[in-house]
Amino acid sequence: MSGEHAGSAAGRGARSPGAGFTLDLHRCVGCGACVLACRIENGRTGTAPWRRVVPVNLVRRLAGPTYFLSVACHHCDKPACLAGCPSRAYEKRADGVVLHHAERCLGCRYCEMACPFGAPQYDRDRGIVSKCTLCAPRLDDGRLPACVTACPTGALQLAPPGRDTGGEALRDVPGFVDPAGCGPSLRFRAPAGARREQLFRALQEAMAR
Amino acid sequence: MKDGHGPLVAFTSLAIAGAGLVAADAAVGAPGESTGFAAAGAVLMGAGIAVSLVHLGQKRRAGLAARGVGRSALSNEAAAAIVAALAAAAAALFGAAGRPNAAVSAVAGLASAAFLLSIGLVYRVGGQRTWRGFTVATPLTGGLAFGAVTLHASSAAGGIPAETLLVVAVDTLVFSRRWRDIVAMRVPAAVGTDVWWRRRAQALGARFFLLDALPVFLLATGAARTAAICAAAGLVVDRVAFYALAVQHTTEFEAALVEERLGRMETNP
Repeated sequence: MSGEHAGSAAGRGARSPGAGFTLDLHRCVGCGACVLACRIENGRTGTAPWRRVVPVNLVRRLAGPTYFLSVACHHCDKPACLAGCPSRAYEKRADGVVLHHAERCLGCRYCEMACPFGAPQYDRDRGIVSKCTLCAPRLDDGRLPACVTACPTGALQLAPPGRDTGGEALRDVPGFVDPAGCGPSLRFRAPAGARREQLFRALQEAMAR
Repeated sequence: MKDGHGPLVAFTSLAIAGAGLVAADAAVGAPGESTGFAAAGAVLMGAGIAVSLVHLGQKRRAGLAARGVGRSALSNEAAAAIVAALAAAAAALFGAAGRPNAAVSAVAGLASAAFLLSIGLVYRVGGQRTWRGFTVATPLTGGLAFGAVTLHASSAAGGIPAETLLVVAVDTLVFSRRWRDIVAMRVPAAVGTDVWWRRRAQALGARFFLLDALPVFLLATGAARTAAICAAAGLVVDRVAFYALAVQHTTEFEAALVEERLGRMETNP
């Protein structure tokens, strides 16, 4: 499948050394199982989810594909939440996981403003923010994150720390940007096909201007 | 305006007004002589600091905000606020004791200017499109403009001193660049339907007229008190517009931009 990956050479890159996710856009069908699994695993049934699925709808336009960006906290190399937090409530573990310590949170919501990916979610009832932990307790037990386990197509995968996803993984695709230079850990495997590849290149070039 | 921004509007309005008074007193006034401004600045900054606690979800943990000094812009702002308020209070106390101290007043002015700059730096975050560039400097320039106008409005002198005109002109220049950036900014249609965004030119224009243009005109015509009230109103409008025009660049934002680009490519292949 690696030969089918689309994108310009500039868009390719080795992944960060920390743990994170890889999303195969060719396989993701937008079912939302990852969102549901995250909600159940983390007891977030009545509040804003840590993970969400953002459709990039190309069908309406150029009779192209629709693809889905399943996004949560990207456990960035240089997390904007961690850099901005006045109470040092964030921590980046040696394995790259960015954790939020609720007991130190002021509820100032500065991380909400700073994160370009909308990862920290404010919980009004508790007066603090919270975010994806990459299911750190499960990782520590040697298990995969709940969202990865629930993905029926294998589109969402865990990229363990220090392991390169290969030269074919894209750092960005149309609809996903890193405006703050945080170095998100999420990497993509892009849809296949000449038309899609052409579209991706055109959009990436347009966005680069 | 977004959820939770009300207390921030109140905090920054009060704090910028207070710090602006003290900094302007040091820059264009006669520091050490007008102790009333130091006292008013200290009270306004103190009130601002108190109001800022309202927006915290965990108010009892407010002290933890000092943990990030030197690393977090928000911690730096909190520390700068306390130092500036204490320095202004010290300057006011010296004056009240009949021993005005120019050095203490100058330190209070510098601390207040640093606090104003720190307010701008807090919001210099990559994901917020309307809080970049010249916006970072507007708390400093706007606060100084308000302070200079109020300082002159309270004096018996006629006309407008060159220093006051210069401070207001600098704020106008900085703000005009911010205005240009925001008015020309392209956002997805979903963001563009927001009432504040549709009327951003008017909102920013109201800020310019109330804080810069009208006070100068009123000072020139002798309506000094009205000039100070106008400048204060302009400061509040500035803060309301600042938060109301926040545009966060998220994945949803970028996905909407991609779809719009596709639409344009389809129309103009």
